[in-house]
This record gives sequence, C-alpha cells and structure tokens, in this order.
Amino acid sequence: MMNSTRHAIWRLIAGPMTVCGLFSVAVVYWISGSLLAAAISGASCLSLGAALASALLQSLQDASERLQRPAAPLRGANPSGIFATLIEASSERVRRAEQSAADAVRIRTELEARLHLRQRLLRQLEAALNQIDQPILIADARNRPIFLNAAAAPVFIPHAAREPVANADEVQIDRVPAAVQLLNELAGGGARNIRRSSEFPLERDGQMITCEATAVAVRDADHFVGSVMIFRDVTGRKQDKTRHAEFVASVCHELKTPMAGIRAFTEMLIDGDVEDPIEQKQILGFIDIQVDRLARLADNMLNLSRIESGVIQVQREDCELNEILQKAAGVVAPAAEAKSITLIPELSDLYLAVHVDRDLFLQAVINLLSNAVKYTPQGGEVHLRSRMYEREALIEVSDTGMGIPEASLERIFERFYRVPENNKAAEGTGLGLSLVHYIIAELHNGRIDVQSEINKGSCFTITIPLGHREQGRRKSEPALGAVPIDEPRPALTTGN
Amino acid sequence: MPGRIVICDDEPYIQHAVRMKLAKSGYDVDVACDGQAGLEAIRRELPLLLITDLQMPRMDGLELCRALRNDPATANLPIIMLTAKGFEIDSAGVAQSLRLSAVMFKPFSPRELLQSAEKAIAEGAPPEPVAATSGKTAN
Repeated sequence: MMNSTRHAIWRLIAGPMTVCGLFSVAVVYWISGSLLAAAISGASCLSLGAALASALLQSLQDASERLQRPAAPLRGANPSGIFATLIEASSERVRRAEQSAADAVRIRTELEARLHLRQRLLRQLEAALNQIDQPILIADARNRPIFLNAAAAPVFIPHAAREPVANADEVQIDRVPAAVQLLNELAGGGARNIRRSSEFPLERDGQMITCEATAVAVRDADHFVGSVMIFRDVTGRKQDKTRHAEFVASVCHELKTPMAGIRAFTEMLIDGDVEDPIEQKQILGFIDIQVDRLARLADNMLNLSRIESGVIQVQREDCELNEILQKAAGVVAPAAEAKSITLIPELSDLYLAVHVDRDLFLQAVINLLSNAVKYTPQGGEVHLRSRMYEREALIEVSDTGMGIPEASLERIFERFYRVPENNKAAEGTGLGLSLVHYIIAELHNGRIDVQSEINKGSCFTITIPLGHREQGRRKSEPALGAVPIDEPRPALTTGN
Repeated sequence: MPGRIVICDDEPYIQHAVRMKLAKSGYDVDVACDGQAGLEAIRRELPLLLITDLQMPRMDGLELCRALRNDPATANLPIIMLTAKGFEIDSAGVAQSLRLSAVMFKPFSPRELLQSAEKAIAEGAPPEPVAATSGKTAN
C-alpha cells in the first residue's frame, strides 16, 4: 500500500481520536476528580484509536493486495475485513475484465497468426503465378486490373521487363484491345457467361506472336466479382497447322506427278494415239515406272510416319560404316549423274566398326546425299567423307550448292520446315532432314551438325559412337515406346 | 497449219506424254526443263503456244509468265498452265492476272489439253483485264 494512503488514514483517525481522548480525559476527571482515572481513560482512547487505525490499515492493505491479485485465494476467515464485500464485487469485475483482456489477446494472437499464414500463402501464390510463362491478368468486377504476373508485365506495362508487378495501377489494359473486349463480354454476360476465348496477334519481347487469351469469370455466391485471364502463345501451333497444310499439299503434289503420267499415257493408249507396238510397249513401261514411283512414295510416307511415331522396329547390328556409305553413294549416283554433279566418296581407309540399324542409317545418309544433289546446281560437286575422330565416327556430306541462310540453319531439322529461299529449287516434303535427325540423334545416340555458306555450299556432319557393340546380344531392340510389329518391314526408299 | 509449241516442265514423263500427243496432231514441239530454258527457247523463236508447269527449278511458271508478259515481243503469246498444285493456288486470279488461256490440273487429259491448246492458238492470249491486276500472284 502506498505511504500517502497510510498517512491519509492516520491523519483521518488521529484528529477524532485526539478529540475523543481529550473529551474522555475531561469527562472522567470531572466525574471522578482523579487524574489517574483521567489518564487511564485517555490512554484507553489512544489505544483504541491506534487499534482501530491499525485494523483499518490492515484491511486496506489486504484489500489492496486482493485487488492486485484478484485470482489469488482469500487469506484466513475474514481476510479482507470490513472491505470484504466491496473487494469481492470489485474482484469479480476485475476478473471479468482481465478475462476479457486475455480473450482479446488470444484472439488477436490467433488472428495475427492467421494473417501471417494468409500473407505467406499470398506471397507463395504470387511467386507461383510469377513463375508461370503465360501472362496472367486478374481484374475486379469493374474490369480494373488487380493483379498481373511477371510474364504479363511487358504486355500491359510500357517498357516493363518481365518482373513481378508491384503496382497494378501502372497497367494499361487498353494496350491489348482484345483483352478488354473479353473482359467486357464476361462482365456483361450474366451468370451463364463464364468463359470466353479469342485469338489475336500480339507483340511480345519485340516479336509478333499469335496469342490465345482465355478469360474466366470469378463468381462469389453467384455474384460476378471479377475475371482471370490467361494468355497462351499459340504461334507454334498455328505454324504447325500451316506447315502441316503445306506438307499435305507437297505430298499431294508429289503424288499427282506420277498420276499425271499414268493418266496421260493410259488415255493416249485408249485413244489409239500410239499405234506402233514397240512404242505401245514403251508407254506401258513408262506407266509401270510411274506406278512404282507411286508405290515408293506411299511406302516412304508410311515409313516416315512409322519411324517417327516409334512403331517401326529398330534393328541395330554390327556393321562396317564405309560399306553403308558406299551403298548410299550408289543409290544417289544416278540422280547426281543426271545433273552432271560429281559425287566424290572420300572414305576412310580404316575399318570403321559401328553398331547401327543398317537400313535406317542408310536412309539417313541417302537423304543427306539426295538433298546435296537436289540443292546443288548442275556441274557441282558432292563429297561424302568418313573418318575416325577419337572414339567416334564422323560422316560428312558436303556440297557446292546454294547453301542455307543463317536464319534457317537452326530450323532445318524441324518437321515440315523447308528453307523458303530454296523452296523452288526442288520438290520436297520437309521431312527428310527431320527424319535424318531422328534416326541419328534418337535412334543411334549420335549428333548431326550443319555448316553452310550462301552460294558456296553446305556441310552436314554426322557423329556416332564407334565400335561393334552388344555382340551376342539379341539383334532386335525396339525403339523406346515402340510396339513391335510382326509384319516384315518394307524396304526403305528415298521418296523422290 | 500446225506450228511450234514450247513445253516447259521438269518432269520427263509429262514432257514425253505432252510431246507425243501434240506431235501426233502435227505440232513441232520444243521441250524445256525449267522456266529459264523455256524463256530462252521462246525468245529464240516465238512459238504458237507455251504449255508450262508451275513449280520448276531456277525459274518457276509464274516468273516465266511474268517475264513473257513484260516483254512486248512475247506479251501476247498464248499460255496454258499445267500444274500439280490444287486449291492452294488461286487459279482464276493467276489466269486473269497473267492472261492465261487455261489453267489445267494434273493428272490431266491429253485429249483436253490438245483441245485447249488448239482453242488457245485460235483465240490468242486473253485481252488485258479492265481492272489493272497485273503483277498479282497466286500466293
């Protein structure tokens, strides 16, 4: 208890006690006339006063302690003396207040923990969205952007890099009118309107791409609260479709040419245009050649699709590389001769032991050689070289042809891709080099590289591991994911 | 009174079939295996008609026709285009812009080709279209 309170009590009691003591001394002295009696009376009064003050102080002290520790057990039978009732009532109130305060603290702690978790979850979600390659935009019910992931930053913020967006106010959604239109359609479309898509050209990283945007309405208890929109780069898909259409057109062109010969000669025979029996026989021979060519084309197309889809069996065996190369040169020699192109094999004198699928590898080399012949002007040269380099065998097919522009070099092994500048020079399906790449890289653990100079020529280099391998093991091993087929494999053809 | 016809096609069997059919009707047939050779053959001596393929090495059929139309000496040479292309080319547009007498698709009928050739020779090249569309290409 504070000293000031103690002094206040003493002052409060000291006055009346002194008055009472003097009054009792006077009364006793007046009645008894004895000074002793008067002194005893005065002393009694002082003692009584002191006892009273002491009791009062003790009670106050108890009350004070009690108020300070309302939850503590009560001391003794009458621990708080004359303030017991008051203390009990106050104590109860204090206890309730303290309980409320403790509850508030607990609730606050819980809320803070939950907020912390939510903030962490939000940060994780933002980080995840920022990792996604596709631009994502989230808008509120009034189509105002409230979140933009990093990929969307360069799309909607002028001069922005691909980085997390701190302030959605910088977003200029008008930069992509198609996006605004999608959001407007969703916002005004009612409950049934939950998804909208559209395709449009878009500039991204300085390049024009074909973009497909899909916007989905976000609803909360059937109320439209906003939209989330994701943008996908579908340029590749569009290009694939275009290239596929070009490929089909190219294949049809290849098929129509022999068909034209067959039809023309047949009609002329029917019309009696060819009367000489020797000439008739010659015409029938032409028709036969064209039918062969059609069959070869069909086989080739079938083989391409079967090899690429992994259905065809790969039969790797121990072979001598130069033997395969000589055979490939032999196959291409007539075509080279027809164009007065000198085909020069410069094969290694060493025995180059390799473990390859003879037919598929032959096909790959033939494809490279026929390309070299196709894209080399009359009177040019095509070289076929083989050599050993460390533990690998190198095969080079070089020509003195028109060369491949640098922009096309990295794409020439893509399916259906044809070098635009060289497209007119020769017929092709755009599959030859992609098949070579597949055969070398996927089926033979090899590599194929190309170097080229415009109007000087190109050089394709195949690198495969040297050595006869897996001798004594089974000779047939299906390609990964291949479904072995029982039917005999048709002979692979060059297709042209 | 048949005369000289130039055939421009890189496919030997097509060259052979067309030459046989036309020669049978008395035409003198010159064969070229690409647009450049065709142009040279035509400039050497103006034929009655050119029958040309579309896709050829060195100079394709479109370039050949444009070169012929841009040269006053060959501007009115009747031309028939014989192509293995299909719907991917705008044959009507090409025919109009290059004033082709006909566009025929492979596989073709030599009988119909002969009829078209005779008609083209008799009628001459189609007149210049009213709207200037010269230079328009198929693609």
